[in-house]
Amino acid sequence: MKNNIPFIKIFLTSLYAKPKQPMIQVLLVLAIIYIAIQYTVLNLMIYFIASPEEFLFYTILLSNAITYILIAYFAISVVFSQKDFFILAQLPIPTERIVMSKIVSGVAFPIIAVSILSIPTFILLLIEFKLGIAIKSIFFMVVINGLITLCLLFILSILNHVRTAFIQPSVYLLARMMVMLAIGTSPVIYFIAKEYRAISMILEDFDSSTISDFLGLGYRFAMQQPLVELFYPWYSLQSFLLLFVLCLLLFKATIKIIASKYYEHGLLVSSVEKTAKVWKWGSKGTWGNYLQHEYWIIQVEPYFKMHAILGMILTPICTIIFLTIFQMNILQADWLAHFESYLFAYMVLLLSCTNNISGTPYSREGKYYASSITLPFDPQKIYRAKVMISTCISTIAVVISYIIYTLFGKGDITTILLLLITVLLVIAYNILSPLYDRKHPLLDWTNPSEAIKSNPTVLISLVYGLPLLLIIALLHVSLLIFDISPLMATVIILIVVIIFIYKLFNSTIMKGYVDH
Amino acid sequence: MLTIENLQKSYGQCDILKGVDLRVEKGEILGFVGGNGAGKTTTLNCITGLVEQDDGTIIINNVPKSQSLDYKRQFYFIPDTIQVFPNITAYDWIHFVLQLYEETDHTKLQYFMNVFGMEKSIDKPLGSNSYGMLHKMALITAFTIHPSILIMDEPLNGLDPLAVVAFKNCMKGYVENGGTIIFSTHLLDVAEKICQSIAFLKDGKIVLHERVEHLLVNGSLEAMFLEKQANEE
Repeated sequence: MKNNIPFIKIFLTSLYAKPKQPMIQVLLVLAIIYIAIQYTVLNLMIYFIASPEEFLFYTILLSNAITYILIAYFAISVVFSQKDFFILAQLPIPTERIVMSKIVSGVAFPIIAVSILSIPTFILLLIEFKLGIAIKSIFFMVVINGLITLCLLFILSILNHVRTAFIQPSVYLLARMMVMLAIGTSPVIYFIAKEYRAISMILEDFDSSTISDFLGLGYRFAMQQPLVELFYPWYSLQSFLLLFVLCLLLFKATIKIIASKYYEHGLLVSSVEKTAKVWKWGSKGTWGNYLQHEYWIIQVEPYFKMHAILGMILTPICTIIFLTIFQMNILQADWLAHFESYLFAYMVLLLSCTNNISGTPYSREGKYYASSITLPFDPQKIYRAKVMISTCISTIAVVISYIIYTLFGKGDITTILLLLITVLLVIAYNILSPLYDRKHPLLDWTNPSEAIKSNPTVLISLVYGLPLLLIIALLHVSLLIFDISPLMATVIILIVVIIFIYKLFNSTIMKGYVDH
Repeated sequence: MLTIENLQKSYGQCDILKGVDLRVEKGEILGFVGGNGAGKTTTLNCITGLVEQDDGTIIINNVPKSQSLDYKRQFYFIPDTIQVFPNITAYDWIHFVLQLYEETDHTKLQYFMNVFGMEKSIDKPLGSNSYGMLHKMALITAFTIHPSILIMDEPLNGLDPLAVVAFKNCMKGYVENGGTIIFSTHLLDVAEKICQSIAFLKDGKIVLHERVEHLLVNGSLEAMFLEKQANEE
């Protein structure tokens, strides 16, 4: 292990490099502070509402949830990336050592980040419990986070082992994402399915004790689960020993599984025979060239393709879930049903905007960006093509979602107007979100996830695009509160959005436009 | 014709180009030589737009760099490392670039493909091509487009002996038809044989810009380079 430290350090610094631009650094710090405050407030809320045992349980649960999200979001793509193969395969290093270093450096950042975020919670634990128990609980929390991480990596390493069975790399990536989503959501779905009646009863009489009752229900339910019972009491020596042994076994097994296919998968990525031809359009117009170029950029990495597909399918999937919840009246809240069409419209809008890859289209070009500069491309047309591609992806998602909505027997004139508003706002978002990336693209990435997920520019793109959506949503809510009829309110919003889009078009998309 | 005046570029505290002045005439083959870190690639990157200069002007055929699209159509750039989408074919890429340059005469393309012996690999994905093949593809594209200026960074890298001969012949034909070539190289014996003039860059400045025949009066280019380097130090 000692010999691996420099190796881990190299991986760690290359995987999680600090952004160079000061603006992004500031925004990143603000985002971290924001998450830390949210996390602390949530823990404080539980601390004051729930009993000490419940507080301890939910503190660990929250920490587990954040660890899972961070690992799934950041670490997975770097641990299973093969981009280091070209550099390391020729060096006399055992594959197990490479894989071990990748795993440790990949998960180190998320686990450290969660531990730092949990400092205020640790203080609460020290206040609430005896020193010995509090310290044991803190230690338990860190170890259980490690176990969750290793469990996830172990399951995904098995999927990675059979990755050659997938026809396309993008299908494998999609399957991996679905597995991560399924593992993450299954405990919640299991809880709702098992305790549906009790949840309904709690939600029926919504009052000040609802949250407390809900927390109590969740705690009692969890305590009855065999897996939780196995570790309870959490601070016992047996629990720790069991955890350590499990962690060790999972760690060793994951390394073995990934290392066994290190060369095979590395060669697969670099395989020249496997390089599939990508379609070229027959277009001869200049506009076609720009779209063609964008198409090639998305095709160059399976990861980009997967994100484009996700951008199209995730909103319709969420639509089905949303409509099922409303159809079955799971939430038992009649007042929500009254605003169903608006909630649906803004859910679709938010999902189709934030799931899209419109924020970093220039970063996505990576090493191919140089050709966009030196070849006679019109920068303004490149921008238009990028906006058009992301708008197409979002619009497909929006239209499919609305078709599903009407298939559920809903839809009227307001729905059509809401569809128009959604599409127009999606266009506006896609025009605004790449503006920062256009000026400051992050091009020196080796792993494609660095261009999208780990790219801090994504945060800035949200700052560029989201305020507009929030302002429109607030305006819409205000109109409805002031007793303006739903149809009239929607018409007013549509007019406002059309005027805004017109202005936005003239100042961005049509800027410098010459009709040849 | 390319004119560069007072070209300056710094990265942080480090001044890379300290006022480069250069004038390359139509039909000229200019070799850009200099030690590592002298500023050759930065100068080429400034000309091609990959790097924005801090100061100075660059004009090609009376078109300033600021007129982005018209300016870019004046040249074609072959970098040291060619980055192309690995999953498209050489044929598709060349056609794509020809469209960008509004070049419609595809008979020339067939001719240059034959010259460089690329007919067999033209329909394979570029990812399956070797470095030398990618270089040949870039040269075929360049000579088919026939831009006013051809800019190359170490153009002989990866080329096999046959391709080098073909390249030299194509260069000759290109220049005879009014083309201008600027390329950077470390191979002084090659520069000596191919170039009509040499620009010697040192510490971000052009310290010598002379026709090759004048330089060879006192011996080989290599000897001149070593002497110049020693004198400056």
